[in-house]
Amino acid sequence: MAKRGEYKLLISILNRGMGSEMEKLLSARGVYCSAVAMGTGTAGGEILQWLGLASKDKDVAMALIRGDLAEEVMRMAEDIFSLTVSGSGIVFTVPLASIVGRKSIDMIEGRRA
Amino acid sequence: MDNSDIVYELIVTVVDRGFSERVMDAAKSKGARGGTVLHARGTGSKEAMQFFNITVQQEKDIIIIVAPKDIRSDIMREIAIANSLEGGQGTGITFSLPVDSIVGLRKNSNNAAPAATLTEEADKPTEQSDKTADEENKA
Repeated sequence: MAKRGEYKLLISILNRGMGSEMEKLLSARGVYCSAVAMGTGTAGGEILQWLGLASKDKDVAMALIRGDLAEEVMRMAEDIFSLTVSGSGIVFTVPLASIVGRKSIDMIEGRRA
Repeated sequence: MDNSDIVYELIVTVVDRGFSERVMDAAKSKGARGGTVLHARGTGSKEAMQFFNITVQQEKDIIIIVAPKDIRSDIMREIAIANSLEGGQGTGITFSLPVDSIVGLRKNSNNAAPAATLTEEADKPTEQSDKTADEENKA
């Protein structure tokens, strides 16, 4: 289990249009620190490339999220976005070396966070 | 600190716009299944030029690839060689980040990585595993 208070970077690579759905899923759990970038998928075999179908538009959603909440969100995303189906997307977390925000600045400056 | 149990790593490569295909071809030749390309803008001082009071910034491609840890070094080395990261045309950088847990990747017969179903490594201490192209070339 993730330690409480430990933050991670949650990255979701989903089909175009699903980034906003991911943001809704996150904001419903109180995660508002997120951003969505437009990307292009490159997976696909040579036959798909010949047909011009190898490139697919993707949404890349990034959010800072508490570790224990990340597990819950990932399990929900697996169901909502049918991630068990190949090519529908991936969601993963990357550990953070350090993080700073208003809460931590308040603590550094002696104000109670 | 030991993070050897982390099965997947996120390889991030930043190159000039238009070099992403070369990077992906190199990565796929070493077993990567796919990646995602993001468009970005460089902010290096050398690249920002003033033309008639209009700042022209270098356009970049960011390629993110999730790959099994055991083939990560091969992929990064191949990207560095193929893209001539050291002062070549596609000047850029590649580094990798550990992936804690992942959903959505299926077992692939092409590599030995186990199926990823929310592998949790959260209790293990975080280790910075960034590697620059420099380090990769020296390795």
